[in-house]
Amino acid sequence: MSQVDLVEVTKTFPGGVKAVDGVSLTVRQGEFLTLLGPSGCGKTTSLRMIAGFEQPDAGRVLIGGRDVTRVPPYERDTGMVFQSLALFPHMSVLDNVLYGLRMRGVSRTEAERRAREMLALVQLSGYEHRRPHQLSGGQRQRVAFARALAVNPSIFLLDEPFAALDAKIRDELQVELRRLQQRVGITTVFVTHNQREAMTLSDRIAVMRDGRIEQIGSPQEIYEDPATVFVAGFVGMTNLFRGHVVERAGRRVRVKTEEGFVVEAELGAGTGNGASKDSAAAGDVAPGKPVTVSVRPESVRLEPRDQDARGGSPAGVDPSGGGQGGIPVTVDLIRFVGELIEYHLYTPGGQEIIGTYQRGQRTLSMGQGGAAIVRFDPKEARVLWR
Amino acid sequence: MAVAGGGSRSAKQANRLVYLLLAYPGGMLVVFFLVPLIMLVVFSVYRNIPGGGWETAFTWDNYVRAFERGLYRDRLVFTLQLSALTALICLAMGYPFTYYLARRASPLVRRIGLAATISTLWLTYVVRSYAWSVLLSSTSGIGRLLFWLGLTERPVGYAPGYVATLIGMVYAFLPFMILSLYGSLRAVDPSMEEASMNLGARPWRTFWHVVLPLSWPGAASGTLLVFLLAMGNYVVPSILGQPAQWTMPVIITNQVMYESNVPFGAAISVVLMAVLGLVLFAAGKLLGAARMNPYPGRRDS
Repeated sequence: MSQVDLVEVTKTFPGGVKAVDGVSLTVRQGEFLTLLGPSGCGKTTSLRMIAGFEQPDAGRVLIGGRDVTRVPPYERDTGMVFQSLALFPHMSVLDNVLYGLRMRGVSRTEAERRAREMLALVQLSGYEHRRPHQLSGGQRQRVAFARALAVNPSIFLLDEPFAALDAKIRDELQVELRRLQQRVGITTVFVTHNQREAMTLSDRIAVMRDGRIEQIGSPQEIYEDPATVFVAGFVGMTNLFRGHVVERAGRRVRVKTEEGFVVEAELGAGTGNGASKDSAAAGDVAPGKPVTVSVRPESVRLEPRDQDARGGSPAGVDPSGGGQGGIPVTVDLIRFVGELIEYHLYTPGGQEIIGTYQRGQRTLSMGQGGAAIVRFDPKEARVLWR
Repeated sequence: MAVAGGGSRSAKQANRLVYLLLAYPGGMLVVFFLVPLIMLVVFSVYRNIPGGGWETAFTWDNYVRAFERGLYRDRLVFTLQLSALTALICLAMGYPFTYYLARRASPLVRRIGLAATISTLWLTYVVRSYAWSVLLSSTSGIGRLLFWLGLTERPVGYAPGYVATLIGMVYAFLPFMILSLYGSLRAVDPSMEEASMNLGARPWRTFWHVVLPLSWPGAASGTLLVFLLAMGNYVVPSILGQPAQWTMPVIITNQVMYESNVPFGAAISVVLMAVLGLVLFAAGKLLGAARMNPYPGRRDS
């Protein structure tokens, strides 16, 4: 159990691609931290630098306070689960788990006792003498966990380990991984491009983009207070309205959207706190500045609109201002997604807005093709730097 | 009804198509393998007429002669030894080179290395063997170079002789070893090595415990391939060897081409094939596990 520090780490691959660009990051002792981002964002390269498979061009890597930047992987004391799992196909399950212990010079009997203990922990007792290809995908996954943790490493590293599994087994293994991680209490760095996986597993998430960390925080912070438009769009679904600041009072900001509707939103705690230079510094948000308003689908409130009241023109809406006028929309599609009802709406200008309701939370009389007004609580809408 | 009828008709057509498709490999097997093999066995029991031709007969004389004469037994043992040595030298020389090429070299070096390996196959080994016979003669090439370097007291000629035969064989078949190893060394997933190092194994132990066992199928099949090619080769020993280095194929060729003794040639061919069959069977038993899982580095879904 140790903490991991990346200090101003940069890695450029031959051909000039900057995979990691000045990343600084601290993984706290015992914490489950996820590096989340689209492919090519540098998350796997960062993980591989912690494991020692890549050398940074600049910056330092510290494990437990010790500078390991130039230490080879076999002296780093990390336990890694690879995307391909990389189980040794010519060895039995037991020999796979024994491997690291034997390489560290643990005696055969002691190593075997420890390996069997690990296999019991991942519920694979009785499978000791199978070969990896005789196991199911989920079982192989658990062997990989057992093998990486058997040597009692100080850091647990996982590189998209669930990518090849189907949804149901993936869910089960996520729960199992989290339980295992908490029981062992090991500092863990997990890499994924799947935001749901990141949300459900992590203590903290570092959202990466183009080799930089865009924002770092708890899943709730990331979701409720995204630092940038990219984070808002990548983590969970959101509706984005581009516009300009009309007026500002403290955290409350009034924004005129590009379609001319005026909406109110707040500066979040995350705004200006992001590690990326793209995130809005709260002090810079002033009238006339271009910004984007982000509203989560569950914050979208729909009210019926009387379409015929003024000969088909948006009723009850004052495009020139008035703040709480809302945005007139037409209901395009209603989907039932499990426990949610999802409304797909269109503004007069053709922008799609998605709103969700809990089933049974509220019933709306309008159906497809109906006219409605979208409103939202300014406390649940975030102003972001465009 | 109409639909069902149509279905069965198309099924019948599909059946016919399958037979048609099977006729091709089946026919190939019969024409190029089965018929010649039967002819060989049949000829081996015919009686030779000294001075020319043979007559239809059923006699074991040819086999009796093959086993009675120490000469042929010696030649068979020599051929097995030479081929085994060739295969082992090819493995010892080919493995490090191919390991470097397949797992350590840059893509450019890898391409150049492979091209160079394959380019040696562009010339027939008749020509390459003659080239070696010049290089290894006492008057030119390597013998003189060693003399000039002061390593030998006088220019030594190696061709024709055992050393020249062995060098010629290794040179002729090394590319097959390299190509056979290359596939299985490339197939070992690099993350296997990383996993091994992550678990605390230094590079040498990683190689020993992970890469070497995983490339074993390629090494085994390459060794077997070179062994078989060497057993069947008659060009290299006849150009680079003295009669003491003649292998079974040279003896067989001599019997058929110069002695005009086709039945005896056929008989020793059958003996040679039987011995090779036994060797292959034993090798197959030994390599059973390896054959079951030819490229273990790949992920199975």
